[in-house]
Amino acid sequence: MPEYEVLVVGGGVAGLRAALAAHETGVRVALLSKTHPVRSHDSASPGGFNAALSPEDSAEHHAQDSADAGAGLCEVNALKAFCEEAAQEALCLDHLGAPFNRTSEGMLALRRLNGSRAPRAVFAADFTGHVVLHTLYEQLLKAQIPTYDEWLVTSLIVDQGQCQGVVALELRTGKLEAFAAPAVLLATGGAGRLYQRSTASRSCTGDGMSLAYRAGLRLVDMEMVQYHPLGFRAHRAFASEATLTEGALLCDTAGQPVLPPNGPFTRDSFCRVMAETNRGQGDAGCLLLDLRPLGKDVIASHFQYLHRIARDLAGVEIDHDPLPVRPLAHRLLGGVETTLDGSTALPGLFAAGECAWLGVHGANALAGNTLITSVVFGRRAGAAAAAYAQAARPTLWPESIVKDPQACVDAIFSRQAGELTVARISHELAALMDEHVGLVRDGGGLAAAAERLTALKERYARVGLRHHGKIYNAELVAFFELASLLDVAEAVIMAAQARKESRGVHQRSDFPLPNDKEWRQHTLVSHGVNGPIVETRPVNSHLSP
Amino acid sequence: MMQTTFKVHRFDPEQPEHARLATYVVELPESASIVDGLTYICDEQDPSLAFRANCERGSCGDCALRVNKKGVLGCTTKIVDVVGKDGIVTVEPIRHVPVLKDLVYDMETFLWRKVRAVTPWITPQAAGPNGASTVSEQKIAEVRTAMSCVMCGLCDEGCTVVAVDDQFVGPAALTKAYRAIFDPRDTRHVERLQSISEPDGVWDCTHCFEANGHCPIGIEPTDRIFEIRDEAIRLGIRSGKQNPKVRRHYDSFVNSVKKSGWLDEGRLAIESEGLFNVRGLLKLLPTAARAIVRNKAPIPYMHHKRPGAKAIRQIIEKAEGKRS
Repeated sequence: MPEYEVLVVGGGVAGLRAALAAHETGVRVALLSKTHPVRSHDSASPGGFNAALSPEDSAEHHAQDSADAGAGLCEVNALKAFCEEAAQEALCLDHLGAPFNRTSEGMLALRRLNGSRAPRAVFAADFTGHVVLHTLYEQLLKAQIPTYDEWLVTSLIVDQGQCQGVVALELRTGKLEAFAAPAVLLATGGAGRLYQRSTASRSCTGDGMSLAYRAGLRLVDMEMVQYHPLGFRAHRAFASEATLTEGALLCDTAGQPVLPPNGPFTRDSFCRVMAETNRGQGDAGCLLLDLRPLGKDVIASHFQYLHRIARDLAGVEIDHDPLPVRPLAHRLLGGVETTLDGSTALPGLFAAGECAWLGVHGANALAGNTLITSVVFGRRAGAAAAAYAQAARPTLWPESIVKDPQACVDAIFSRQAGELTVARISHELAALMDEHVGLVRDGGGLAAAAERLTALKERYARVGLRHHGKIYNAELVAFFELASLLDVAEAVIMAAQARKESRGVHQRSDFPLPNDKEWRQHTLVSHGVNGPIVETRPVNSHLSP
Repeated sequence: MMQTTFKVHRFDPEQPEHARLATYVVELPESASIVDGLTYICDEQDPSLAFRANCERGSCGDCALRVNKKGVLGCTTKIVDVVGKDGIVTVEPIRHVPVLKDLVYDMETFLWRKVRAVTPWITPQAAGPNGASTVSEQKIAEVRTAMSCVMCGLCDEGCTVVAVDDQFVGPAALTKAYRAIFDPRDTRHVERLQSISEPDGVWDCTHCFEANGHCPIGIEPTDRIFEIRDEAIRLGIRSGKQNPKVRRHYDSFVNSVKKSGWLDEGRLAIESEGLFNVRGLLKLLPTAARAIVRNKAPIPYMHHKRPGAKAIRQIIEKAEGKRS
């Protein structure tokens, strides 16, 4: 059985940063991920990340802008720590060789993104997440941290109230193996695949959120699903919002601009404009993103990824023609409740990145805050997990620990395969989320969603696999992923039903206004014996140790 | 909606004798990609089909495949753009790589070990950041473009050297090496150039330009390889310690053109092997014999100066002067 002191689950930006931070302290770290690390969803993050680096800017300003965007749900302490460390982490990435854009004087170039008062975003053309991911991966190679690529964690090992390791499935062989580690760090990313019309990669299935939920931990603010206003009409790609702050126009099909150039607007208000006018809905009603005002040179130096992908996917040459866009589900702002050092209510379990919640984003993430959140809190969680592991007693449990998970897999294979398939249930789930739990919700739709989800869960409990092979059995992987998605969907729907107001990205047509008196509260969903439990907690209170 | 026939490579290591092209008919919208087609097959017809894909927007590099005999990213390649006149799309794993199952292949052997071999992380001057470094945008822009590589391996798939020599480091890893070599913040510039000049390194590229044609991002790996070589030459690194032949070849080439204005191929072959390398020279004999039989070598062998040789010599000397 492989034994480590810190086991990081997930090879995206948060997981890599965490593994490196833990490694620096001298503990034995390993990184286990469902895909190869460079295939992670972060590679698709385009426009840049915020770091208060210019002399006119400050961590306080950054925090204030974030709080304004967050519509009253940000945690002050989390924001403070985040904005102070974002600048340090940006410099660290620059130091490690991330090839960010520079000014003519050779300084880090900063671009303004929507909702920021000053140019604050460090960027690498429009593939910033890609270079950050690859820079961190280079460092992982340098540190020679052992990696287990294409392993899927199927369960946490919890013994005597402590997380002691994980059981994981190796995709290449189909074998289950237990990994012992006193500190397990979840950095499994988001759950965008809850939606059909989303920007999410195939791997974004909420695995870590589900593992934590099943272990009795609370998921916070799960109703907050951020939409991206500039998604492609028929694909998952999206244009960076930096296109707008750099001078692109958003027009209706008659060519009339629908937003003042250069904002100010935040993502949520923006998607609302699109939803209210009923444009950007359905396949036909797109708005047009016109990049021609930028000129060929700026497109070539600042938007080369969009240039390529618009040509390949949408068949549009962005320096000649406008690109049809519409909102797509983008990311969950909620996640596993963690402290500022990434620890959760389960000793030995840590979380960072998109699967974790700390209260940095509140009810709406400031454009440019998400990627660097993964870096900042990835580092913090990695360091904290290492410290915890050094103080922990080594665990010894028998090899038979994988017997239960193995029996569970055997039981899955013994079910009868019928008309009902994993793929069908996944499609129905995504369709129902699109229909009822999308950009604008209402009580009736959410109740219908909850009812249909219950039916889907019942069907999931009966579903059999059509393929029983061991090697790269995609249906078996999809089976586990669907369990995660159903858990996350439950939390999203429950939280959305509970929050009877409109705030940030959570818009309800039956409660169109924010209700500060009753709803400066976080929603917390946990997995009870008789079903999900929803609680609320006022903003700015903290996780009890 | 449109109907397409997919022929998909199937291979199960548990039943290797059943390797085949399996036929599926898919019904998908016009905007559908190859990955959409494979997903449809898995979901609706045959869940045993294994393939890799993740981002579905050409940024993660997970879905490199061979479609109708051409290496492509499956997620950014639309079915309508590649389907043959017969309405068929054939999907196979990329070449020169061990297949693990169906369309899933072993990237570790194919690419990652080579990426590690070029020590792809930069070694900055100080231990930690001391404010932001000052770097020229012009220099870093090239590094950034090289780093937009998604590590799909399609350049290696199309490489004519990788096809016959799996020890060649390959255009993808060389593009990664480029990123470190040309990062102005790196302190191991010369060491890197020396180690990349060793056997199986940058000099093993035969400049056939296939890598440029196969890169789905437009990074032009072949040009990156040339730039690495130019930089090595500029610094007087004409070969690695393990392959002095490269240096001899280079010197013979330059001397020949300087002297006569064009290439003396017979002399190049002999001088590259080395005048005292008896075994190497003996190896040349069959080739020489074949050349004579096929009238490729004039007898007696004479190499004349061409008109304008002097001007050519001046051009080379000017270039050499610029370099030093």
